Amino acid sequence: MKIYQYFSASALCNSYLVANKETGRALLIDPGSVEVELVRLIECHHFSLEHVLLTHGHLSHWEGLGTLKKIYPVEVWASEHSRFSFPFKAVTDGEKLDLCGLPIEAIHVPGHSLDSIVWKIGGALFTGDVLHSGWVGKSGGLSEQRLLLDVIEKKLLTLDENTLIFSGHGSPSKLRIERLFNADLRPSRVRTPTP
Amino acid sequence: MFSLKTCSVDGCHHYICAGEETCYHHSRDQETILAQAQSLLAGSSDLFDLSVSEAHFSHLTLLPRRMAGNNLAWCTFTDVDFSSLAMTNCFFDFCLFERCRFNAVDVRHTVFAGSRFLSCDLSNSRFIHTNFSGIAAFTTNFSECDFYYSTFNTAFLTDSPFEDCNLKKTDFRHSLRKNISFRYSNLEEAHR
Repeated sequence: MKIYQYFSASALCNSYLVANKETGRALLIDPGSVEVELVRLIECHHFSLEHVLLTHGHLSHWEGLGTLKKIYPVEVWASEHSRFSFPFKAVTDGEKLDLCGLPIEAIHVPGHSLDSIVWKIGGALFTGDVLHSGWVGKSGGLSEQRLLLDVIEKKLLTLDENTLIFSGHGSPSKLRIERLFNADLRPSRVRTPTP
Repeated sequence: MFSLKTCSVDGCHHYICAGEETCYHHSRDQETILAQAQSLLAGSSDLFDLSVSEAHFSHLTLLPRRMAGNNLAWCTFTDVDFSSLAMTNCFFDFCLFERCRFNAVDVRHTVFAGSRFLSCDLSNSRFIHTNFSGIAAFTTNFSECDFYYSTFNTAFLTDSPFEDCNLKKTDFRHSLRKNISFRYSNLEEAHR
């Protein structure tokens, strides 16, 4: 598996190009903006872009999709809870896929938005706005924040601590690093007693 | 990208070395793997997908070139010169850097989290989208650097200047800073 980060200075979000090393078949996660550099990244490596995975419905994470679809015949995957004006294939929590010869699992982590999906591809998590290096995604209110922290603790922090984290904003990380240094994930914050 | 398969030894979670079934620590041929890694690091070709954990490197000068998708977590580096390298998507988490130089490097999407920096020089460089969470830095020079969108959260920084740096969107939350100068840096644009 090959992973390439692309930071769009206009959408201010990270996109990830994930390719099968053997076949050159590739997928793109969160095309916030499609610029010449991103197309060059795909073409210079002779990748065949086949799929787009969306982490959630916020515009800055999929605004480039229209441009991308004019260039590549991609199939779009997103949460069953997403509402988009374009056609997409819906995935449910825990659903396993085989795209581009890569083992993919969809993990539903609501809280930042109802339709947030963390994509697990091999030993890497693509967390969108759910979990970043050093902080947890923002939520609309306290109950959503508690839900987000609870689901992160149950579904993500139970995974292998060497799992790589590639988030929608900021730098890459590992689960071990976030467990140790992410102040938002400290036990006192995660286990807020229910009133 | 280095292989994300973990070591075949029960209970070991380290990533395997390229072409091996075990990590460096559990390899039966550590000397060969270390010699290969040292020769790759000291060589002049671009360096991709190298994976060696818990190894020790000293007195090396890396020639200016590209490094991408490498895993060197839990390694120790003494008197190693990384200057003028272009580095993307590399993992140096929980390493020890002693008297190392990172001058004029272009580092992006790279992880140094949990590492210790002792008397290192990182000045005049770009560290964009770079993870320094939980590092401990002592008498290390971070001046004249671009730290756009990099994280120093929960870091422990002592006697280490950050002068004339770009700190836009740099995260210093929950960090402990002792005798740190931010002169001529845009600290007001950082998260702290």
